[in-house]
Amino acid sequence: MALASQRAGDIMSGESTVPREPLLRLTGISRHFGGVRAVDGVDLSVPDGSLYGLIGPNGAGKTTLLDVVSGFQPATAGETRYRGEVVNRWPAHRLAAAGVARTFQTVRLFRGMTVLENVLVGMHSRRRNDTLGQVLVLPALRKAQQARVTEARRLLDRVGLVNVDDRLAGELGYAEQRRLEIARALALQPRLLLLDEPAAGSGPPAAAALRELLMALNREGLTMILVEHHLKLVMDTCSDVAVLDFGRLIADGAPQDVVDKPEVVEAYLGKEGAAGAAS
Amino acid sequence: MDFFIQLFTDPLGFYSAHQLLISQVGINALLTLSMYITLNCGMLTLANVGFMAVGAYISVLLGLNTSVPFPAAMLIGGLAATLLAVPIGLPVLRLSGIFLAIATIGFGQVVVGVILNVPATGEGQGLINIEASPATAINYIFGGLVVVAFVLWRLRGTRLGQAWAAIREDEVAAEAHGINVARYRLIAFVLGAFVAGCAGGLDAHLNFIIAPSEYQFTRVVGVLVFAVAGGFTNVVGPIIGATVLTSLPEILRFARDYRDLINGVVLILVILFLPRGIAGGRRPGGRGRLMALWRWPRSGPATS
Amino acid sequence: MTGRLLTQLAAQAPSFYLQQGLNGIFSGSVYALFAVGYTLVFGVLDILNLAHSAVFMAGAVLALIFFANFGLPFWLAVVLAIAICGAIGYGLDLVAFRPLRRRGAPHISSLITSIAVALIFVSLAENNFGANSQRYPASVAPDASFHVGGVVIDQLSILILLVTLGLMAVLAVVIRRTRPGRAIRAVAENPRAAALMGINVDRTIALTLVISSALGGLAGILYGLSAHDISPYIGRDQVELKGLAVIVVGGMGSITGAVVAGYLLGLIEVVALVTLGSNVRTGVAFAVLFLALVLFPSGLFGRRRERRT
Repeated sequence: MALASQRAGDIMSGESTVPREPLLRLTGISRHFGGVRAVDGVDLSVPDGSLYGLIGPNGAGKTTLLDVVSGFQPATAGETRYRGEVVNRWPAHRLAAAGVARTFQTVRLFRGMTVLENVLVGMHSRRRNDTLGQVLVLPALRKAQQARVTEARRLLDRVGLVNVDDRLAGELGYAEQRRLEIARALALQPRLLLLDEPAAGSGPPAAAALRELLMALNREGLTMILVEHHLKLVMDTCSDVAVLDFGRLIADGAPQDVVDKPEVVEAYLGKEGAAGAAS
Repeated sequence: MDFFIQLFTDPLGFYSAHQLLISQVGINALLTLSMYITLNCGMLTLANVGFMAVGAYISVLLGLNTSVPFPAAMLIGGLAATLLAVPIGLPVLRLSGIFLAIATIGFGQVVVGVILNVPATGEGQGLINIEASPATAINYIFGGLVVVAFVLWRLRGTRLGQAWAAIREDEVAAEAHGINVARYRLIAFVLGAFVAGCAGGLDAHLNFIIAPSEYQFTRVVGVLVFAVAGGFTNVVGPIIGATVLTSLPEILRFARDYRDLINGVVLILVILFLPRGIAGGRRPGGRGRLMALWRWPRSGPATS
Repeated sequence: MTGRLLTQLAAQAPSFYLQQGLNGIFSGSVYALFAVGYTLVFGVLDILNLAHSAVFMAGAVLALIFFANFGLPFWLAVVLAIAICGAIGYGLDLVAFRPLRRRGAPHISSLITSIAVALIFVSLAENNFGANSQRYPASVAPDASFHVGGVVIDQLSILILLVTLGLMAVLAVVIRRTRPGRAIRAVAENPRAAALMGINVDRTIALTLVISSALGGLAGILYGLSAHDISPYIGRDQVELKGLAVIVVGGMGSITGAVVAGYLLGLIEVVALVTLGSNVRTGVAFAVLFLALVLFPSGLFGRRRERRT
């Protein structure tokens, strides 16, 4: 873990070997619903520039943890630091404007808007307030709008959605909708991107394209947290992996070290399965 | 039939014969647009007639007791409704779906209750508005309608218009993309209140008497019906809905006694066969789908 | 002004308050009965059935027509009127709700069709019954009353109270213990899961509307008996909005909540009437509604909802 974060830090700063403040640091984060501890005392450091895999069995609390990080659910206890700032009480839209983008486990597109419009909405927080000018038909604003459309097209192209600009988002296939969610999130120009099962519903070619995309984005310096059931994707792309089980963090570190840990095998396969795998 | 024959063969005669009806069409179109603003942002709020009453009473009281000229009095009435919308909207807009609708109905009833109990408003008797001038009101009404419709049409695609559309489509996703949902909902609510307040002032300028009975629940329901029947997927729908349904009783004069019955049947037919309203288009899954997006919360435990 | 009001109030005998309290309970019975049907449909369909107030009116009007115009005995007129209201509930589902449900239409569409049905019924009543307020002949209801310690209690009010409480008990048993009742609860909880369990969802919803409308019609008849006021407008003017207030304060879909809140509204109205005068009466009900919504967004008996992404 320490190794991995230093490596990422080196890439970003180029020289320093002093461990820097990670982009995101969770300390003792819990989220309880009545008696149910969906997330229970999780400590996690996501270094700047890392691609951090978050895995665990169904119901382990991965999505809840993303919800807490992105401001959609308040933490019952603990502290979230983003870029060194305590952001626990920030509403989701403020976090988004500060560069925390996300996708959703169950796709949440603006279904009645076109594909292009979906991406344009993603640019909301960096768009100047042009409402009055547009109402008054100021010609100067045309150019800015053109630039936004060009950028949106580029993003769509990047996730492999071509010639669908004017289709309604709700009409796209499931895997395409997931990719549109990524394009829309990228339109925010995020520092930290939270991906909730982006590969769900993708066939092998699409999964390969997704892997390429994630690695390219990561090379450009985008920090990501990837929640994914597709273990191979996680192993291939992630610099660090954390494993959640029943809301608790049971392991974290470099991908290969983590998956070999007995408690991780046990969480995935159950006690007997773990015994069988060991023998 | 005479109605349409005259409309096409003798438009001027039609205008002078139906001036009041035409004015009422304009008022109802303005009210429906005020509801369109909030519907378009995914909220069913039914406070419009309450704000209309505020605008009407303030502009009439100004006209009767001061030397403020009419258009200014109307705008002040509209601004008063706007100002009132802020403290009402802040707590109420935290609600959603049917609870929001009911809370705003409650607000409308409280406004009527206040009017009934404040002596300056003439209480149950209402006020006689000697300043009213139906002949000039019609110009202001349609001037206002053109301005409001133009602005709302232009808003689409602006930062504000796009944020509203996103909230309507998916509040959570909108919030996740940096849109301050609470603020934009409040803007819609307040803007709707301004339009409704101005419509109230215009309506009062058309009638020589204003009374609390004008601002009852039935009237809000009527406005909602205009919006849904016309379709609220674009600016044209509310205007068409208000025009058709306001003129219907006049067109169906021969069946005057069964007016509401016919209204009811027409309404059911529109909902069943033109789900996106008269002007909503037929594109499947198209922009008309907007309506589908505000599912009301269930009373049971939340299921994803 | 407040001082004078207080001295006035203090001058009243205790029996005055007891009397007012009883009046509140009696009018609360009608609200409760009306609201139970209203809330039942909301619980099962998630639909605000604004035609419910028209069914309330239809109950009162039909009973009078059967009695006065057809010369039927009053009890038979009442039974027939309730049966027809139940049938109206079935028709309501068939025409206004089921086609929209099939299409997966948004709830606002059903709201509008229910408004349309209400318009149709009120218009029919205007044309066949007349717009004026009428009343049941004095002979049909028990008119004896007795005095207990300065408080006048009439038999009719007692009857209304007993009928309401009795029906609520029956309804509670039906919903909890019987097969159709369990089906109703299952559909209310999750229609898709209910369908998978072999429950006929359409039939269950129709049954809910029949029960709801029969109760609504009965509420109308009881209102007509006690208020001596039967007109096409009683639904719209007396219960439509107050019923909303009741089911919201009671927690949408909660039957117990609707009953408690119905009686609560009856009492609140009486308090407002006594302390503030009759003009304020409706305003107060809605001020309470407004506050209740802002302070307890899911109603007094409703369950909290969590925001989900």
